[in-house]
Amino acid sequence: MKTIVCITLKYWKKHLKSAATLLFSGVLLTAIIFTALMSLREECVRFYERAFDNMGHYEVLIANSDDELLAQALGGRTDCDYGVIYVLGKLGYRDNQFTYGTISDEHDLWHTPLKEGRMPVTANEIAAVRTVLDACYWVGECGDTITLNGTEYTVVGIIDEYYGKHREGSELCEYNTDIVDETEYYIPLIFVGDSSAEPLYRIDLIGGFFDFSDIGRGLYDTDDDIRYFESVLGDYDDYLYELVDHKGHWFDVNCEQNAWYTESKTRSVSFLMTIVWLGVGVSVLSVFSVLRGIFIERRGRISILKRIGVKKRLITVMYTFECTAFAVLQTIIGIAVGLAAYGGIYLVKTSLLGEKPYSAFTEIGIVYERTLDPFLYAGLISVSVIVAAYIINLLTTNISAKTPHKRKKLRSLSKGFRTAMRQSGITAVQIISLTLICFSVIVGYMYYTDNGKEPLMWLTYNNISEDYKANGFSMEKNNIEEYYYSNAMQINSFGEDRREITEYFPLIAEDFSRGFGDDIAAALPDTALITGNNEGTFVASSDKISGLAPIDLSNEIVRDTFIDLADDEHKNFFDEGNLGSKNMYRIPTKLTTSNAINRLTEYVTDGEINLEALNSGEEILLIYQSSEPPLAVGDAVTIYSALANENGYGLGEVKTVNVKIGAVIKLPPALSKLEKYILKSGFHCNFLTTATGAKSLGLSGAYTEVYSSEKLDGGIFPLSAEMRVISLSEEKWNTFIDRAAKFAGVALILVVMSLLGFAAYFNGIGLKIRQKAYELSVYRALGMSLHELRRRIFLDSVKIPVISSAAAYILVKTTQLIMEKGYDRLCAIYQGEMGTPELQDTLRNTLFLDNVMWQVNAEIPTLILFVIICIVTFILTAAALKKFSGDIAGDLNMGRTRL
Amino acid sequence: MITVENLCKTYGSGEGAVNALRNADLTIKDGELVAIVGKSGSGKSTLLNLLGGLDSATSGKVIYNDVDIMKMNEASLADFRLRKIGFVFQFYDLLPELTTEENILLPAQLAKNKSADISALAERLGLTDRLKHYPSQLSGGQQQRAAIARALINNPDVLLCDEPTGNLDQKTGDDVMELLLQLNKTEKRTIVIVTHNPEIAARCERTIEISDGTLIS
Repeated sequence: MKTIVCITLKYWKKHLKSAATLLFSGVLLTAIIFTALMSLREECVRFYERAFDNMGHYEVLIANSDDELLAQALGGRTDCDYGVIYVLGKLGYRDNQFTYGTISDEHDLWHTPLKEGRMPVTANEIAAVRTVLDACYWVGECGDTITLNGTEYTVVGIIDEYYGKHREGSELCEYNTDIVDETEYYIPLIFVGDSSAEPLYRIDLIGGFFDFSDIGRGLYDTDDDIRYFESVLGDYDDYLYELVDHKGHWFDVNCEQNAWYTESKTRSVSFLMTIVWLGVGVSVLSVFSVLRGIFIERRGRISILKRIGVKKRLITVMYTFECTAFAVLQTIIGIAVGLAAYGGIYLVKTSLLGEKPYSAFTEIGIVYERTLDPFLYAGLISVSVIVAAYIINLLTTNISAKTPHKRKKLRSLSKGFRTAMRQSGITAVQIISLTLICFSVIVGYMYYTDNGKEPLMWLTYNNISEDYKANGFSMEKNNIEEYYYSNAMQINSFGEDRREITEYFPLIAEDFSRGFGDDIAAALPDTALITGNNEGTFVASSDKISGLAPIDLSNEIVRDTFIDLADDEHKNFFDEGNLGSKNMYRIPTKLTTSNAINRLTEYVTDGEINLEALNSGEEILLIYQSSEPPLAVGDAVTIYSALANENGYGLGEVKTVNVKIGAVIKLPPALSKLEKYILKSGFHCNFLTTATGAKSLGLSGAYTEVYSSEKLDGGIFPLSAEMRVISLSEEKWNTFIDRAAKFAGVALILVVMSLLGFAAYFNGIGLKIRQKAYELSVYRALGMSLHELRRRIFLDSVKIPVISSAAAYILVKTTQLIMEKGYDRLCAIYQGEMGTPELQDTLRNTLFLDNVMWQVNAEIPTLILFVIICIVTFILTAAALKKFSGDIAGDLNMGRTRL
Repeated sequence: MITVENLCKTYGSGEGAVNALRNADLTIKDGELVAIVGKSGSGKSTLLNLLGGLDSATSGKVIYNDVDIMKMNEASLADFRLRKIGFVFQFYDLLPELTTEENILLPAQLAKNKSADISALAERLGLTDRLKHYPSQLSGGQQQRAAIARALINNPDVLLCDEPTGNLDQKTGDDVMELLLQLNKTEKRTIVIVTHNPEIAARCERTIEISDGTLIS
């Protein structure tokens, strides 16, 4: 026994390379499974964390509660987790006021979804929802200060927007708004640290109220479980309703998210699993392939042992000993490598890609019930694979007794060479692993590329490529790096629905005060395109102006409504001689900088641009598109603008401005759409002046948009300008981060799996050559040159990429066909022809029908893969044959020992 | 004629270097039957391998009819082995995946030698009914005869035999030796036999003794 162990150890000591290769394959197999299962567990954690982010982690919430109500709701239970929110009132900037409060929640039942930073601790610290901070025109970062209702706070945490949009009781809630409509007890959107202020009301949070262990097995494993829990929750729901209804409070019973996980496992998880199992398949083949080579290599030695009288039992012990050693080593090292890989992915996701720090190591108990234990299953599969590989190889690696060659026909040199070099086991492993790899890579390509894909009906698939837009203009095509904007002037048009918008009467619904003037514009680079717009200006004339369509207020009902809504001093608007009796024409006023106006000189068809006159309000420019300008240079024009009264649709004030047309300009068609946009409105013609000019004239308006080809210093804009920014590089980065965060795990596994599969294949090339060193030496001894040998081995090897690529292509085409048929079926179900909703889900989930993969061209990636594999095959074949450049006699001697 | 001049072969380097052959000088005439004898590890096989171009020399020359094969490139040397030399190894070195017939015909296929007559050769060597068998199905003597047939199939000028009877019993060994002698006598083929068996050496025209890498006689 001792001798056998000694022999085994000596063998492996002499064959460290083989041991390392076997261990490497086993370690990778274990690591892949472990990493994948950890990723899946993390996915599950993220699911629950997201659910808790959206809905809180409490089971019962009672708004405007008190001690008596809480005691009644608990029904004598003292073992529940408890948290409380004290609402202190409203905080904000100007009219934008939001509920704020403090929170005491050691069990994190409220589960505030912080986007960055932390929850506040001291009285002058706040954490607030992003949209709330936006509404307060705060453009800082965590750690900066904000002044709300005259008090300065430090923003220590930023809460995700969806907290405001999703949480029940949020005054910004966009879904299930019943509570928002009915209650005055809102949840806080701003949290402050300790506060001595007297709370207006409190919100109680209770966790651990429902005893899930009653079910005896995993939660909501079956529909019956779900029905059971719904009934329990329903009863408590009714009880709470009776308890709090008479006091007008609202409450929430909330633990349904436990039920969702099984059904809502995303298709990306399914895809990940598919890739993982393919990876496991490849790794298993890799282990088998390496071990088979080792068994073949040892055949001679084992035969010697048998001949000298070693019993079969001892040989079995020897194999058991080394199998156990490999199993233990590959499991321990594999899990350690898997942990490191998972840690790496986690770090990348959380540090670089900005994902929330939710890891697979969680305290959420349900996750452990819902997911496979990575340690246990990675270990089990790892051990099973190596044991199975040993048993199968032990049973199959025997020298089979040969019968005389029955074929009459002699094998040619090529056939004979192929026969001599044949290693069916390794070749099969190579073909299968390469086929799986090619298939996975092509499918991965099909999944993540938008090559030729057209979004189809019934599918949620979104085209992968993004067209980043700034106010409808493609940022990339128009070379826009940054787009600064503030809300445009709000115009409430008045007229008949059937009419064109150009013929509406414009009411400026708010006094315009956003944007910036020429002083700020002067500090911006010359290349920046700056514009502002006052769409509410119009002119009036007793005579008709040719080329313009008048505002149509001829309908009696419209007129009556107009008069009804108008302030008293405008009730006579349509009387003879008043504005309403004239022909009114909408001519909006566009604003742009002196620089931009100067560049228009060559397009002036009449008159002359006089910037001084423009800025002083003496003159204005007219941009027109028709063959003749509707107004002539030198014409004195009265520009009107109508301001709405308080109800927003009634006339409150009419402003008049007298000005002279300084020049008329016709823009050439060659001008880009963006350049036209900053000068020209969508109407037949428009006035054009600078912001200073508009101000001098007394017109509302300021520059509200900046299209810049370079990054600007956003701090140049005053807070009152209320400017926001879209940055192309940031948008691209965010998209990259989103995608990377979503696909990082799958991509990594795909890459590792591909490497593993290729390693198995390439290892096979080297292994075959090593195994056939003797045969190759005989061929050389008999007179075959190395060049000829290389050529024949390469030709022999290249059949594997050919077969694998063809097989992978057939598999891909079959997959595409099945997906397409599945999609057709899905369409038929949606159109009510046949099938059930369950079948819809099955089709969508099992066939990954969130992605039109079947529309992608599979030929090119197959061809590219084939060429790459062929090239690498050639290089590796040549490299593996390099060791044969020495003495043939030595190689022959080495080879003889194998036999 | 084969001329060996100042031939040396050293394995390894430094202190661990082994001088397998030291300054060997030798001439073998056409049609000569030469035995190279010596103890195990004396350098017999090294000399034979160098004569057949299976190994490269550290220094010195191996000249076949004015051509130094040590200066040949790999492809030329391979072609030289294919057409001019026939090898018979102690362990036969038949490819186990090929039949006896395929093994014998292998050099002919490599040399595209369509005139090779396996039938006559097989009959002469008593292998006619064993041609469709695999090497593992042949006895030691039959395997060695198959190896000799393979060595002869391209009708080479020189036959290099490395302990051709070393793995065979007395009777079979005698048969194989008889066959080699006959080949030398009837076909005037140059044959070099490496052996440590004095009886075999005695049957050869000339004996070259080698000891510790040095040719003695």
